[in-house]
Amino acid sequence: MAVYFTYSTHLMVKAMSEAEIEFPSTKEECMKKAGNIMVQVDFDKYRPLCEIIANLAPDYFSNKEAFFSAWVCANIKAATNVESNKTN
Amino acid sequence: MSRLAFSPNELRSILVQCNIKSAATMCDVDYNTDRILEWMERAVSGYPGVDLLVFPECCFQGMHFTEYYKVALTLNSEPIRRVCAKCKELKVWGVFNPWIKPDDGRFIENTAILVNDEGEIVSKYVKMNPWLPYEPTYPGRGVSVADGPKGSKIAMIICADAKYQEIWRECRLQGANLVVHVSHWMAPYVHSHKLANQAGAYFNRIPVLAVNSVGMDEGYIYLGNSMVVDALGRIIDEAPIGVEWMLEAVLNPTAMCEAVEDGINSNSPWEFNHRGASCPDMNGVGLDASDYSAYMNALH
Repeated sequence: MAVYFTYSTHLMVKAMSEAEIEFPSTKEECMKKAGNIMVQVDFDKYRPLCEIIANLAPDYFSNKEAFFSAWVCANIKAATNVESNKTN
Repeated sequence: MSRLAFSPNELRSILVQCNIKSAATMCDVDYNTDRILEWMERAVSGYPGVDLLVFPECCFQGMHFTEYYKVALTLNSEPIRRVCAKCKELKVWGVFNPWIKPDDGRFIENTAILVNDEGEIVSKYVKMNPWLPYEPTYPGRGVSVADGPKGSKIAMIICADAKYQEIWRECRLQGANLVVHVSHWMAPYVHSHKLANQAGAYFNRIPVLAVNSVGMDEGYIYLGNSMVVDALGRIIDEAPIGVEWMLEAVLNPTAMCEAVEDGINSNSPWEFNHRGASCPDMNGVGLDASDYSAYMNALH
């Protein structure tokens, strides 16, 4: 049976909390607060929180849901790019 | 909900579910005013430290079938000055709902007022959706949100307003963290009264204090069943049907609305203006209300 990494949202919430990121906030402010915090994004992968935020499209987040919507959007884009590159 | 257990940061309100005389004369208005003052004294006696007292729709006048227009008040009339003075004397805020005859000659406006603990009218709202065709009052054009006690930001809506989803949404989008719904809602419509309060709260993630009158007039029996609804649409407490009652509401509207803002989902006031925001084609922004056929069609 395939095993999937399903708790990335939970770990992002924890990382955001550790960074004391609150909303509303700009992307730049979020990146500053992210500091050196690392986030587990797969069973064997970690990424800097700062880098994750840098990849989000909007420059401003009015609330937490706005941030996480942008995050899901960026994740899907990244995943589909990987799939697309594999196909090509 | 015990009155022995509440935090000093929580807003403590009493919803006065009272019987209003259907006023045909100014003497009847004075009678109702005397009763409002009695209820105010009773509420602060029974619930010492209370922050806000809320009275039902048309608490000065009722809604007489034929004589209603003869008993309209001006904002600086004696009955209103008396309740304002009582707020100051008792150091308590109040929501009241007189029928007002404007100074500029317009017809009567069904008007809710928020009075602070200094006796000043700090917010005025004119009912946007008079109960057609029986309530020929002049309609208002927008909600009013005002700072209330304990960090509350209060929007008032009146009775038939609650049947229209737009006004609830406007309250939330204008920054309210508490809707005070005052009504003169008649039997047998218990279900719709309950449903409207819960739906308004749930669809907009905002707590509601709903106070309704009891008693009867020339044509109707008013059902009561005042209620406190949380931001998830759950009824925290409710008053019985058909009897006078004081319903205590202890809640923290600021915390309730901040919890919505701090959630990673179900922030419906934001979501409806950012539909599909997490879709990879939407760049985390989504579509706003200007791209919503219901709104576009309604405007044309």
